[in-house]
Amino acid sequence: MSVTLELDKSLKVKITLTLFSDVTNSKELRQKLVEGSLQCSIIKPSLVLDTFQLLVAANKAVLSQQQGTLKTKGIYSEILYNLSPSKNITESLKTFGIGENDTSILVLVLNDIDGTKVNSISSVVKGKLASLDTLNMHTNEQEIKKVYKIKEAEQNCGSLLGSLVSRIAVKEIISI
Amino acid sequence: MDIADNKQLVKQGAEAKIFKGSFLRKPAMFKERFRKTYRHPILDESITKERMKAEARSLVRCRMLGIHTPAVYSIDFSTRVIIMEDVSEDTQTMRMYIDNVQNSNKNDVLKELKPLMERVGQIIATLHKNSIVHGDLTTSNMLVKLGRDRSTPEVIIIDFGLSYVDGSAEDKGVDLYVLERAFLSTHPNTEELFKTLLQSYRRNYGKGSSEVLNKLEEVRMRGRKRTMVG
Repeated sequence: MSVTLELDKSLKVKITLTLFSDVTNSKELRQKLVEGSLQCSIIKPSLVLDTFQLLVAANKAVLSQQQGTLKTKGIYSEILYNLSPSKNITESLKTFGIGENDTSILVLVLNDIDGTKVNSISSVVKGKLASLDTLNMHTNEQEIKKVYKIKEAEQNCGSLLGSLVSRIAVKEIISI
Repeated sequence: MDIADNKQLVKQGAEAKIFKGSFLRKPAMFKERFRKTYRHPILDESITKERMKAEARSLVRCRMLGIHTPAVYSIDFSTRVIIMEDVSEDTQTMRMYIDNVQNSNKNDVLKELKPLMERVGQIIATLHKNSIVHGDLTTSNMLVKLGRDRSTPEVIIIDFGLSYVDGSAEDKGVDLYVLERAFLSTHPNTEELFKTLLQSYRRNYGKGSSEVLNKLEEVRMRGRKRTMVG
């Protein structure tokens, strides 16, 4: 059910994405993330339009890690932070990360070569494994436009996905 | 980012090389600013970094204003590379587009190209109203999206490598002057077309456009550079 995608070749890193629906223990999962006993990014699927958006954010995070310029405590929080157009870390993690009442979650792990990372996370999640092809069913475009502050004028030029990844790519050098 | 395998050099300019390739499985353009060995390395680094920031900022700000520009995928200061969306599919440079229309023996070239000129005038007015000066407006830095039957033609603006933020009428006037020179020298007998563009610019800019167009008149008399005499 998980899908593994490669980041830019020079980075030599792969990401694995797993989607869960009907999750009942989000509060507990969130607690484990805060404690550090769960090593992954848990993302709200409603704010994900396309896996390319995740690839761009993860690629940027790994690049920062390799160059020693992470803005947050670790690579997994950095990915969540990068997804957000905001420079406020707490707010970014809150917006894009798992909320206590979320019932669908998207789990992202790095370099899960033999699948053990995903397996150990799956054993903690109380919910159903879902196909990543169903990601679009969870996407909320209105919410995305609100969070990324995409106004009417911008919607007539180029794709929405292009607007999202552009904001991710330039977030520290532009204020929106 | 590695500029190595599977990338094809498409353009070599004075500041950068443009490669075509793919980034995270999407077709992409890679703009790599090379080192200038005649500059002190520290100065070179800081100039390059500032220009990369200015370029990326302009690309995204334009998009927010409703001007179609390539999406930005990645900026890496250590390798001096900006990775952008490849917008070359189904597009033609405005230069080729105008050439084709002029060579097509259509009776009324002016009428055919009028909507396009109006759109370009509108785009530049939007840029200038928001204090963005492109710095290198030519018909090669504008792309026309083909095969779309729309009332307003879709124009994509590229190469913001020389762009900067400035509110002065002087710099906007020079921006228009550079386009006028490029336009009239690449496309013969297009004075009327360029007038259409300027009229659209005036209309869309509204208040303050006269000041810029007066500056344009001034720049025409003296050339792009300010006189340093006296």
